[in-house]
Amino acid sequence: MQKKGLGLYLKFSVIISGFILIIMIAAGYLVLRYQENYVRSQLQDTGEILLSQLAESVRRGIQTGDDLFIINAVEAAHRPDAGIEEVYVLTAAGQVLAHNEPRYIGSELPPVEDALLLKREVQLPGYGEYQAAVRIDQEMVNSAIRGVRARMMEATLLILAGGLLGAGVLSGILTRPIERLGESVEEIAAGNYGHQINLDRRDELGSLAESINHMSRRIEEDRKELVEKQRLENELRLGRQIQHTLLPERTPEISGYNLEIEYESSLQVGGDLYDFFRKDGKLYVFVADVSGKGVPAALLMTNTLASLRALFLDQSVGPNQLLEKVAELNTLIVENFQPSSFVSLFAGIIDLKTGILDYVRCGHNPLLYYHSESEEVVSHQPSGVALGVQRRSEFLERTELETLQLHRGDYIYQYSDGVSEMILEDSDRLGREGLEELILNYSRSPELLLDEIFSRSDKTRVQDDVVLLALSRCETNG
Amino acid sequence: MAEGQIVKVCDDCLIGGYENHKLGFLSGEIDTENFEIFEREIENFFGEEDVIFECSELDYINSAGMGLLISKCSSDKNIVLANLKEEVNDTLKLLGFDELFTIVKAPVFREEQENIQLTVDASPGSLEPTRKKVRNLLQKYSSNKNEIHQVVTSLDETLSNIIEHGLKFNSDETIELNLCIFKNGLIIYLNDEGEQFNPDEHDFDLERFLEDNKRRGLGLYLINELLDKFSYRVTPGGKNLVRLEKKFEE
Repeated sequence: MQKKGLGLYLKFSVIISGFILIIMIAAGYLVLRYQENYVRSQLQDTGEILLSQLAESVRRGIQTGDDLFIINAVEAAHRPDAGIEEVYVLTAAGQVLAHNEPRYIGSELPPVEDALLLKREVQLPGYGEYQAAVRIDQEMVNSAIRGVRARMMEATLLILAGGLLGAGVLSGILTRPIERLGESVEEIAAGNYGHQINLDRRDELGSLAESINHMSRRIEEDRKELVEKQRLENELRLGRQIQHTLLPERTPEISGYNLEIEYESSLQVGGDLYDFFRKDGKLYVFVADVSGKGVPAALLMTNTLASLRALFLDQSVGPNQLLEKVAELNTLIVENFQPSSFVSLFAGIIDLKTGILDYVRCGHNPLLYYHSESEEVVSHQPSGVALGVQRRSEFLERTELETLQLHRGDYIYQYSDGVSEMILEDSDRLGREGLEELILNYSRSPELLLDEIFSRSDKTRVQDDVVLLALSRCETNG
Repeated sequence: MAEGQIVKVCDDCLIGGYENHKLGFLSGEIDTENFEIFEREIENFFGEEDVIFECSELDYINSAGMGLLISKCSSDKNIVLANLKEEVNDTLKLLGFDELFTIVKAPVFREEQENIQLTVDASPGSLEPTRKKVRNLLQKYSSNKNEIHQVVTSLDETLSNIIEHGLKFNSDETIELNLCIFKNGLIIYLNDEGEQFNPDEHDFDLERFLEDNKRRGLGLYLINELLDKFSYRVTPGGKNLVRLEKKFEE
């Protein structure tokens, strides 16, 4: 923070000082030049006046032969305080006739360099020629300039001091609110979302503060949403876990048969379900799919599962009662579910001794039957309507019980839509034909079959739950 | 085509026989990714009237989508699905839902060009001017002479049958003719108040026709051969309504 303030102050100071210096140097140059000329011309004017008085005195002195008069005039003209350094009169031969320094009288003058000399010729017919001269003190000009320069320096320093003070004030005006803004942003960054800056200004800094306040509020809202979303996701995850625990975890060991279930749930809770149990020498197998997605489907799925178990577990249900039980389930769903919900169901009863499978297919995917002898996959699709759509009489009218004899080495497959409708990397759906083909290739290992399907699926798309159930009758008994 | 991404509507399109149904076009794939959009659009689409969905561009519809449509079916609301693709039809059959909807194959007439009402007197003399009028009209929209000829012949045959059998040459009676011309075909509606007619009695057998030399039923046979669709029904008001459909060749 402190560093930032100093930084601005330093920058302002340098910039302002630079401006002041440039202006003062330019002004000083002009003033000095003017001053020098002025001082010089003042001195020259004084010199000229004195010189003309002296010339008049020389004329009169020569004509009257009064040398003393000339000497007195020279003395009078010699005024060092006014910059007249030297006054003298020379004869035509160059001899000193009069001088402010009497020792030079009668001799010749030593040459003076760079002298600012004003001369005047005095011609007196019959008396000869004379020269009157005054020398102006160069030092006078120089000292006058020095004085001006010194005053200029003083002024420059004063203005500079003022400028630096100004820079300080200016940077102070800017840095203090900036520091406050910075502190507030730090506050927000530290986790105090929604923190508001109270900066009542109508300038750019004021609108920056307003923007930061707005941002802060938005961050707070978004964070609340995020927290809520995470909470919901957490609950969904828990829901999914609970849903999983409802489904049977392990497949039973059945002598002479091999039952395998592959279940992959999508990220969300879903409507797929499967169930199986053994009773009185029979194996009951169910695969169902509740229409729709997410929590509604999951709730209906648990309801369906519970109803299914209630209907089938209590009493011994033989193949003859299968259709009746399913019709009861249909009525339950018609009466209790929303009209847009329906459940497709495969329900089968296998007599473990004979290998006879009795089943109904209520709107569910066809049963895929791998016949080991012919090495063919046959799709069985007896008529049947999904549960929850039609009244009992129409339902029974259009749903039929089917029987299939499982031979040794045969497989039956049941699956949810998630398998057949899985979107593959080439963005086609797997489809029933695709699944049948895979069953032919992987007829002995449903697990590898599913691995293969997943390896080909498009991971970027939203995919359904996947249930794949495979039941085989072993080649040998036990 | 407008409205929605999945359920599109078209104001000047028609499927013959479903004039009173609201027509929607379903297209693409309806799956988990866009189900919410579909749900919203369906809610907006359904109103008081029966609906017909043209599905020739619909590649896939998931169970939730199907359930949504089923929930819209009720005893007094008919949902017609026209021109379903085989895959979608298979899914419907799989779920056992094929009997919950009316599933039809019917051509869609698009971009209505002209809608003309004509009144024809029930006399044989009005046939020739009607033929001329219709031929001239059709020449604006089809350059296929054979096609025009087929329509004009069928219309002529239908009119003469109505005048002869329905209205018994009673020249006080009239036939109301309504021609709807579309970019890709036309529908002609014929309305009269004459005697009702049972098309089943007119089952035509070309061999029998040739054998017993009874000159009946040939007209209907011809019309069915020349046109894409011929339909007859009695309106609730007791009028006869005949509909002729012909699609122009592309």
